Amino acid sequence: MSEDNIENVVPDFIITTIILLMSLGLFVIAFNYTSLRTGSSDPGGAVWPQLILIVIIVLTVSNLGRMTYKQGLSKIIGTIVRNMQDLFLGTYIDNKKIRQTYSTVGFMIAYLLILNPVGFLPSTVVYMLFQVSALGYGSLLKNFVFSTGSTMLIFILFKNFMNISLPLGTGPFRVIGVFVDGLI
Amino acid sequence: MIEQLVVGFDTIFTPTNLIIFSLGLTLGLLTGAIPGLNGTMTVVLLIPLTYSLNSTTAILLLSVIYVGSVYAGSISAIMFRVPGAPEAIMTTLDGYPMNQQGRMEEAISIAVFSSAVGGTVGVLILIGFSPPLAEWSRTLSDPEYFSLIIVGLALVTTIGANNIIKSAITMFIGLFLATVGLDPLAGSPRYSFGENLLLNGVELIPMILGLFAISEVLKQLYSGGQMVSDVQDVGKIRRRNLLPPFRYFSRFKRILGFNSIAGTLIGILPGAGATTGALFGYTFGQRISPKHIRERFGTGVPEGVAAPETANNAAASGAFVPLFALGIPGSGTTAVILAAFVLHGLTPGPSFISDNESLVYTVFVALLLANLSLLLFNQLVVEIFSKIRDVPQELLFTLIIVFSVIGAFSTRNITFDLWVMLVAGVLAFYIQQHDYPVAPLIIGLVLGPIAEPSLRRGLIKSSGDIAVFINRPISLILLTAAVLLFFVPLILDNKFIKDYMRGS
Repeated sequence: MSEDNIENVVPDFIITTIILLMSLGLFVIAFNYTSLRTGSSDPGGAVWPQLILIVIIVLTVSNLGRMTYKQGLSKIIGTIVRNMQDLFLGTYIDNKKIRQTYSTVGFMIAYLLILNPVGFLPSTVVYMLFQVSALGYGSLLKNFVFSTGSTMLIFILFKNFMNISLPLGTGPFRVIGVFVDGLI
Repeated sequence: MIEQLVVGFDTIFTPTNLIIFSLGLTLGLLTGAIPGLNGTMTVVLLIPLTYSLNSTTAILLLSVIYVGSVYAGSISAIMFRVPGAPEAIMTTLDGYPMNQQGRMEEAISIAVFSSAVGGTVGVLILIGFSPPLAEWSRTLSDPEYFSLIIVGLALVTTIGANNIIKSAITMFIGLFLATVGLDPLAGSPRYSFGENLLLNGVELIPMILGLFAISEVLKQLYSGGQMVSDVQDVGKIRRRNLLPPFRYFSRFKRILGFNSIAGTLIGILPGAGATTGALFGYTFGQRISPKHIRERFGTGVPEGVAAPETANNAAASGAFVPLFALGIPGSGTTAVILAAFVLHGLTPGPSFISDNESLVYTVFVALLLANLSLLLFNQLVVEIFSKIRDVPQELLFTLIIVFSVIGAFSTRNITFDLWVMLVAGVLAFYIQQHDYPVAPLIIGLVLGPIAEPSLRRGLIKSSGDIAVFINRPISLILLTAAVLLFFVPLILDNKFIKDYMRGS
């Protein structure tokens, strides 16, 4: 990725600025931990985080300085204002791929939200079905067979052989989950 | 010693122990290759199952699982850019690009081969020098540990050669994240913002899975690429030739020799472990490689796979030295094996080897055989794992996400870790598009928890005198090495200096 291109510099400028601002905030918060000492020779619980944050602040300022020196602050800010809507899309490739990427994140969020209340088995079958269908794999029936089969295999592998507890759900889902768990 | 080794071989070549040995190795390979599962977790889960076994067989099983998992961690690192275990983080840097170039089989073959060599040398050192090495490690104190970590941090110039500022930023973010949780000495909350789930700090496994697995899936979806290249291997390994690729001995002789010994020595240091060994091994490998190879590290060079794999397996063997000789664990997994000692009525301590010669030498022999088995079955392992190429990408992406979810969840059985993984993955996906590497962040997260207590304890012991870090010879040597490691590449890469030298 060329660093000379203003379109690439703008997201980098924003990332660096966010890291800088967060570091400054966390540096101030660290003063609350100066009293965490085990003795008079102990530098305390604030020193190490503050040392790290100072280095981050120096690095981010130098990165911002480098970008500003190369592109000019007014040009960077002008581009930010003009391209607000594109900032978080990065390099544009095509709509389908972007849609697949963002839908994957969306499916994952939904999966994590239902994992505990619904339980591992149903939530994983549903997640896998949606995910592989969105990625354009096979027919609905084929995707259903894959989702159900691989979820059962994974469940048996982790639960029975590796003794790893996977969520069984809450309320009515738990009753069903415990029943299926017993069957397996 | 020969007599004890013969007894060890005799003990292991019984039907029960041979079956246990094979089971342990297979289980270690399986769990190491699955993203999110690692040797420590498997050893923890299997401890209750070892109650019914005698202590020798139990410790043999747990030790072989550990060795197998360290091996297999590299396989998923190469195939999916998902380190199967933290020890394999550095292997992603060149292993995955090799896979993307259509050289997956070659990368796995090199990883398994160099792992076996590193592990074998480590075990031989373990057999020959356990007691004196353990004594040596006892002379090292907090200043040396802190200085060693500084060397590790200085290595960021190697990993982030393309943009040192951005690499340093992500590494220091990793170091900062390691401060979240309880203060390591005072035990009070720090940066937890009243959230109990943060008291244990930021868990390593969800972070690794997010930064490497989730971000890579998103990246490949976004770019329309493939995680496992379906291009046939460029450096194709001849089919039906199941002999180990002995030609790698001459090709990587310097890396294999140097990193086997260096990795073992790092593994011996309590708390350092195989992850630190891999980190150092990668840089050592780069430093001792010819210039034309050194400059291509990180782009998919075989030496970049051989170096960390030799060192991390050597370190995994080295971690047994303080465990057996002093009763001090050298890594997370050996700490769990130490707990198994106690559960089986064994008393760890300086007299452990002399009191339990049969057990100790049986485990030594088992470790040696595990490494040699993998060396001999190298091509078979490659053949088996390369079948993954036949799985459609859509299914692979989905399965990797599900395995990552299980891996992150099983760390503490809380969904909070899943959100950590997801947020880390999405952020990593975004920042990597702008040349911020994520490997340094993990390095910071791994080294941070060792650095701060070492620094503070060192200062407490010296009554606040910071000179303690340069007054102790080994600490001074390490700090000097850190300065050289950090600044020499910077100076050599400086355009002005380059122009000046070329001009003169």
